[in-house]
Amino acid sequence: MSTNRLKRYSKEVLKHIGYEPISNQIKPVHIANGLFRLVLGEEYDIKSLNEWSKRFSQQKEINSAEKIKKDYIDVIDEEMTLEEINELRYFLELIFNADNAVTPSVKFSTLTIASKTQVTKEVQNEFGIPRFLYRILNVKVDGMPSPCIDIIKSHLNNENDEISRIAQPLVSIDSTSKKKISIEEKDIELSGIELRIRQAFDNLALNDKENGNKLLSLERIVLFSCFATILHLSSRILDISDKYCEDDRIPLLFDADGSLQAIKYASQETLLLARLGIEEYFEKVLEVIFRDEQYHILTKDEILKRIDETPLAESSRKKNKASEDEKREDYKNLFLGFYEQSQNPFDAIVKATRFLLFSDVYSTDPSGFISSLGGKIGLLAPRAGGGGRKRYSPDPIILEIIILSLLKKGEKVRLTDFGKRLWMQFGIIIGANPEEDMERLGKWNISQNIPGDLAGSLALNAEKIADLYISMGYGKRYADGVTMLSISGGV
Amino acid sequence: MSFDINFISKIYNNRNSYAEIFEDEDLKKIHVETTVEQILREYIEKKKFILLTGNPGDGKTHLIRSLKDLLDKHNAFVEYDFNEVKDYEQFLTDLNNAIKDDRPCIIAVNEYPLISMLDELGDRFPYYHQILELRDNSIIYNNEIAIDSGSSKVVIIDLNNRNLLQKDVLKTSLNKLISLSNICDGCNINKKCDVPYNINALTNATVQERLFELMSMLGNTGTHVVMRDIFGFFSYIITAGVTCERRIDQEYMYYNLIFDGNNELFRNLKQFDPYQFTHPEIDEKLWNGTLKEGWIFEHPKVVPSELENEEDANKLFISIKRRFFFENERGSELLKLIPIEYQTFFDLLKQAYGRELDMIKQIVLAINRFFNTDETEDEKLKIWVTHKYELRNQPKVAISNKSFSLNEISLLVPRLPKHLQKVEFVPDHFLFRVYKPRDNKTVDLKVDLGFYRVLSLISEGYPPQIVPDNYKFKLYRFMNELASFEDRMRSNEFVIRDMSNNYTYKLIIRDNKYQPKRG
Repeated sequence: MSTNRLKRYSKEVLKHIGYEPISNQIKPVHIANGLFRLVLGEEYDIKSLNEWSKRFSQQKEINSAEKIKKDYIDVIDEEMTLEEINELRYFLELIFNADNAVTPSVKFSTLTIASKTQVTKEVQNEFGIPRFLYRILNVKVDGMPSPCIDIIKSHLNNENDEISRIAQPLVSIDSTSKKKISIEEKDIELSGIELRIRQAFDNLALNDKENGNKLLSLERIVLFSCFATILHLSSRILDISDKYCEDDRIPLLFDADGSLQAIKYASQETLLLARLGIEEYFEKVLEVIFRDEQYHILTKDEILKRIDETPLAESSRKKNKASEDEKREDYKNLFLGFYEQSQNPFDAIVKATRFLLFSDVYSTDPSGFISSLGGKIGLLAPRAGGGGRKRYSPDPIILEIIILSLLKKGEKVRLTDFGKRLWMQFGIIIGANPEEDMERLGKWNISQNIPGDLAGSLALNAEKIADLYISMGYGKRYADGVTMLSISGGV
Repeated sequence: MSFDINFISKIYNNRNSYAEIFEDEDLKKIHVETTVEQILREYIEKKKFILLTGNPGDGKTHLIRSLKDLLDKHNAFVEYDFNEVKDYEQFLTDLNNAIKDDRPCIIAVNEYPLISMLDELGDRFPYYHQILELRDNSIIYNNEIAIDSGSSKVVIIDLNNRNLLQKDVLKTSLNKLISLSNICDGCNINKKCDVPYNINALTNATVQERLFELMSMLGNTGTHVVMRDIFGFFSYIITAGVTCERRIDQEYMYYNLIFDGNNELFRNLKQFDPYQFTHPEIDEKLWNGTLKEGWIFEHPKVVPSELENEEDANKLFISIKRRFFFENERGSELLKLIPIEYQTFFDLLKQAYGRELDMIKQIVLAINRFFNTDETEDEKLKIWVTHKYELRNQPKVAISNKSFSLNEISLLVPRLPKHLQKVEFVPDHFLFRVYKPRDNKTVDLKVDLGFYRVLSLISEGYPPQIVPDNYKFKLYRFMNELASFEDRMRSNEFVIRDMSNNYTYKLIIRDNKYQPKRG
């Protein structure tokens, strides 16, 4: 039995959520590796590619050219010099470590995957996210799993792209060690944000079906997977709390280019709302756990007594060197602080526990996770760092993926209708309907504190986003002030 | 009658419809006939079904009014503004009756309402399918589709495609405005007023020629103007858009006003401001005041070198250089200093097919250099593949294994269909098109002036980092689409480019063995 009850709570909460958004080391390529493995139902040994691609570890050579030449003589031209081998390895590293996830140990290593033979067994940095995504894709909606599954399979089985062909000599050594994996199937039903994510995946897949560029298609699916995870984490509370109704959304204000101060500021605020949504989500799950432990019938003093009996020995954070008694004292103080605000002992213990999980148990709290992953997929800016001042500032590729996940082929929508669809599907606001958007932001207390003319800036922001879509070939502006968007393509 | 000069000053940036600010009689006087009227006359006589579309302010109503006599003669069905139609059923009944009676029909409708109307009424709207087909082919590339005007009852004229920045339209407009103006005869309000000078200069043939040369270049940059903008522009360069009383406090010379106004036309014109084009000999003489020959009116009396304050001297130099461009015999020499890529771009758009191959090679080289700055190949377009899942940084590596030869690439310039070729249309872009062998698939890269300038700089060796994000996105997407031509001939030779360190490696994979390509 754990000597730290908080760790047990942590495990139970994460089990309930279905994945572990508690590390800033999670990269899109880790999610790709896990999702592809589950879709394929098989994993491959990447030992040879890994050895070739990783020459140095902490500035020390770990796989010398001599060793490579000796071990891989069958795939090297006999006249190839050691220097030439190392030169080739430099470029293989650039290709297969394009996402900086290749490590000296194959156990933790993830390649930038182009086809199935680069898909490896589960690595720690997946943190259960691929399984959660696979569950959404694999569940039958209208009697069918997502078309994304077939598309991923087909792209991974196609090894005709340049990257897979470059890998081929090394892959041919290891491909005999293919291993089947079994996936536990559970009957589940999707609702709320999970269903909307699934619909968007399906739409993206249908729109990408005829895209002959498999690498681009895989990139889009993975980037959308990351976006979907962020969205799920911040918005799931709307589905499980009685406080919210079906049409409520956590707003994500997309800032077109950072030039409008009011938008920039309001966008930062909406990112803060996402963080609050995550905290509320964790608290809601904790409520269930604490109810099972009968906390809801305890008085303030009884809860304080329980805290006194709670084992808090180990801390996963090395920096927290406090003794168990000191930790209990902190726990009680937090509880009392929250109790002062709400006068509700149950609410206070839930909030205090959630606070400690985020600050003391997780190596990265879930807000830090969305901040880090959001930067990596070009959803948030600044892309790296930025502390609490990040905002939604999507890369054109993210905007492209979003329109592909929302509109059907042949469908033409006005910018205003597109804005409504963005809101209903994802909670995204671009300013296409300034009055409604102001109202939505106002409902979350955002519009009141923003310096400058937010309503005017929203309209300008929408025009800027429309300009981006137009320049990408997804829209046309008529002089009547009407912008039409479609995915019929363009030049 | 003539217009008061103060009235003319109000035309600048006046967003009201001319129908609101001018009397019918005055409207007739300032009406400038363009080829669109000629085409409309022809099609009214042929009893066609005409949809006159465009943007608000394009002058649809005004055009129809100018043809009133002819329309009355043929008892034509006329709808001045479809937006005003309240009862669609009645409208359709009247329209169908007119068609049944073989009367010409003309309907003015803005572009988006036309789409909405077609969506809403579907094939209840007469000639629905023909209209859709014509709309899809409202712009053609080279001569790819030649629509025979005689076979179609329907004609769609989109005034958005009409480029009014043409020398003859500009000349007629300016001369009309000046001829209708009361040229300040006997005015004693302001003895220092620059308006008489401006009017006199703008009547001069050389000044006009230089001005229209600059303005017509704008048409190729995608600047779309309507008649109101042109009159507004001329109003401003004559009057500075202020009343006679307010013109007392500072100088308002037309050659400075041309680069000073505040709307899209003025903003875009600034890129051709003559003072930006350095000519060492002329510049030095203008600075010192030694260039005294060739002036149409008189040479500048005060010169920059005589001023002590540097800021004042620079300001004066800019003004004198502009004046030189318009009012000196050698002024046209400055036009030759406009960056060559502008001229090359304009030449191509004017259907100068003699340069097509050179242009294709230049763009091939530019795209090749975007991925590999050391590239010298301009006979083959290399296809570069990049792949990563993280978007935080640009790709660090690109791989090339396939290419397209020049005979699989063409340049296509947009044009209007044959039956509308008299319309003043000036293209603002071309397509760089790559063909997939064996089937009819193509991939297009749309190149406008801004994009062409960037590509031109890259082909000359400037680093790819200067490419703005929107053009980068286009280039990567163009490559992605080309890379999807899977049955493209591929070799066992790979070029791998380290894009951060500008370093290239050539690899051969033969018999499942790695082999570097040496030399």
